[in-house]
Amino acid sequence: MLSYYLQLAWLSVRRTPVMSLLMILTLAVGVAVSMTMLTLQHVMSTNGLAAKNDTLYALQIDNASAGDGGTSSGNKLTNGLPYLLSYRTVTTLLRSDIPLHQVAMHRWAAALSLENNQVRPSKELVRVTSRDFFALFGVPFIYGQVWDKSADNDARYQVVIDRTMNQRLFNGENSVGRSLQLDGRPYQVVGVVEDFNPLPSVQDLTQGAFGGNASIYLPFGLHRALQMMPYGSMTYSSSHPRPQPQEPLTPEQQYEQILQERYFWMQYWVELPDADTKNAFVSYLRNYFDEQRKTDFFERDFKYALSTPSQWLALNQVVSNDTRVMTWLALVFLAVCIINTIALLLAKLLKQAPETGIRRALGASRSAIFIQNLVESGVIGVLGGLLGIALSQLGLGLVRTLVSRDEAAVVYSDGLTLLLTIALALLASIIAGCYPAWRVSRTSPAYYLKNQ
Amino acid sequence: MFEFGPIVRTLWRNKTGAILIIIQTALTLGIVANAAFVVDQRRQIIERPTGIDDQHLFSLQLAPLSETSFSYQDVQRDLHEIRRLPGVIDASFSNTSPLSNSGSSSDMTNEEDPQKPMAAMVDLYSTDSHGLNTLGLTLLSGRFLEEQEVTASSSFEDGSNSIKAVVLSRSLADKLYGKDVDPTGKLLNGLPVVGVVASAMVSYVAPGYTDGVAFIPRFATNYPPNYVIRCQPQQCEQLMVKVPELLEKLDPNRMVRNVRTMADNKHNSYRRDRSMVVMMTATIILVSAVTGLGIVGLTLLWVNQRRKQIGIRRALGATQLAIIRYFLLENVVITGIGIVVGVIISLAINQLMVQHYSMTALPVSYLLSGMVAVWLLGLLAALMPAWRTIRISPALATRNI
Repeated sequence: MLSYYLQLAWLSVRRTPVMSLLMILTLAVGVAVSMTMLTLQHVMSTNGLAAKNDTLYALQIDNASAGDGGTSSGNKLTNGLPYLLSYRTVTTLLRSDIPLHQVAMHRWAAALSLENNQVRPSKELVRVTSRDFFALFGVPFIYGQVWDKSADNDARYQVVIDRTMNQRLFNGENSVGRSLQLDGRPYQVVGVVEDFNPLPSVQDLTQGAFGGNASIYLPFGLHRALQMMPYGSMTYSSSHPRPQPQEPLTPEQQYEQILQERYFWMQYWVELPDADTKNAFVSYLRNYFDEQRKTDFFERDFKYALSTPSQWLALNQVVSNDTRVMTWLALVFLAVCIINTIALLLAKLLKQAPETGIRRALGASRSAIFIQNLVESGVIGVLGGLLGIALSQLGLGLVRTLVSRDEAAVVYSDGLTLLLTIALALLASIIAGCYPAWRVSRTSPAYYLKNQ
Repeated sequence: MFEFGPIVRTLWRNKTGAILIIIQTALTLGIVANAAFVVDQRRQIIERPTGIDDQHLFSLQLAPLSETSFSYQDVQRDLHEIRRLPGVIDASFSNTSPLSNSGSSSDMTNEEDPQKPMAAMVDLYSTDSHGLNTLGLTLLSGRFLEEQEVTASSSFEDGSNSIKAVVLSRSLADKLYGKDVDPTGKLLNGLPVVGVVASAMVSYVAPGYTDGVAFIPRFATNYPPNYVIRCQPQQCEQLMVKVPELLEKLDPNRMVRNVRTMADNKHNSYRRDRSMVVMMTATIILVSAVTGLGIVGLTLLWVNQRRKQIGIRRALGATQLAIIRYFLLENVVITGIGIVVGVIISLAINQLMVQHYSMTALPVSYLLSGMVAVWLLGLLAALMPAWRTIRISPALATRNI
């Protein structure tokens, strides 16, 4: 019976080609536009740390100045807390042994070269981090191991590079013990890790959703030796005027001020495997904060946030308000398309009502009529859905030309979004087909027979 | 008057189709009004004049291969050589690539009146005496920075006291000293204000991020310098190759990076706004097309359904025009109701956008023009099917009865 209905449906589509094409196109465009936006939203909220989402937390402490009233200023996230910490705070926190792992880090940039000039010099993004980075984010070592603990406190010119960088510099060989140059200074390779490039770069969203992935890692003990400044944001905020020294300070003293005063430029992640450790860490944090509050290093009352990677993505508004607004409008547009299809389908099926009347008079049940008409709308829906999938690929292509190159690299549909597209197309066609089919199956045969 | 009565009664007896079109029209208005507003807002942001000669500027950055300290003598030598190249109008150093939306910003306060301090977010732009001519700025009062005022030091050395002069943009002077007050000769945070230039965007283009620009004659030796070059028309392209070659020749022990035109910087800085404009415009076109074609299709079906009745009306003496008028009027009634519902939907959509996604409230003018546009769309869509009723002959009435 179904194949017969399909045949009838196809005949009916053929009989009104323009109208049918219009319905198919309408559904297709509606599905394509909404799927383009849903895919964009989906890829932008990809959580590269989903596997460790229950145990990793990004730390925020309310270190804003006393006079700071606004929540919208550039250095705060949507929860009203600043997202950067001071060097002094993170080096104190690093001494705690409560978290399983903890990471203090920031971005840096340097000119990369090899002694023998084998590679073309280039400016590279460098992650300056404490040694737990690899354990905390689950980045496995291919060769060698992480630098020694002392390298996080004292200047050791050691470096860890990732697989891609190792391929580029040393043809993928075991490069442990060899050296590379950053700003002309030699660093010894102590380890090679797998690439860690989540997109968006959830571990560091300070310079945009894709700006946090580095291929070179330096230990945390080099700050004073190199007078490192972040390749990214650093803010100074205090309600007290900066102390004016009697004599001019040496550069070393000036840099020490940056490390010890209210300069904010660090990110902090902790791994807290269970609720007990989490509570212990929070109370440790509170003690530290209250103690520093007395000396006015913190100017406001204790407030903190520990955010899981998925919360962190949301707080940083990786999916921008623009994208969300566009997605909602796209869904409203889909509603318009579905309503449009219902109206057209209804009018078309009602036009065929005389035939339906005859079928009913010849003994067909209401449900048989309903199914016949539903098959007809289903054919339109499936065709619209298929075309919609093709058009949504076009839509994503358009989006790729609009966004930045980094973002364009991820704006592709994956298995999930393709499945969702098919589901959405089917759902749209069923919604669009059900009511007209039901309406037509209710018509009384007598009325149409009389008119023949 | 006209056939209002019959139209409303007919629609009432055959509600479903009409209701669907009403909802569709309402949602269409909701999308069109809000999207058009966003498009216009973003276009205004993109098209704001920068105040600098952005069509004839490019910039580049130097990166050292070894030592991390730059000497200002080298910079002066480089700039001197660049200025001698044919096609170059002027060149200067800066702390950032103009219009790139990154730079150095700081809070500054004018405490002349301790009771009423005036604070502003300042775009701190380091440059030399050629900065004015390089960017193509207009000097409004006082003078620009002078060459002997440039101080070169590491940013860790006590820099703030060594700055000898500062030039403000008009918008910043307005914010710190009051509208059209000339601050020349006054002190700002202890720095002497020597001049005012016309308002311009320099480092940042994001609206509202800073209140204006302060030009300071300061060279930070521990940061890689940027060179900004203003070229004669059509000369930028060749200079973007020649200048890096020249710099390489003057000192090979460094990299020349990020050679970019200001037009490119502007393009990148406005990327989000521009993609919003494209996507919203596409949505407006698509939703208008879907609704318009939908009305065409539905009216065609209605015309075909009523061929017999039309024939009877014609046979009873109605003119062709009266029939066309009937269908147009029917359309006006339906889209009219749709538009009224649409106003509520537009405001609701806008309210949600304001509440959750920090957008601005929809001005009445956009609502009104959206109403007119959707109404015209409906009328135009009904025109073609209504026109086809002309071909229905009164003789139709005599058949089949």
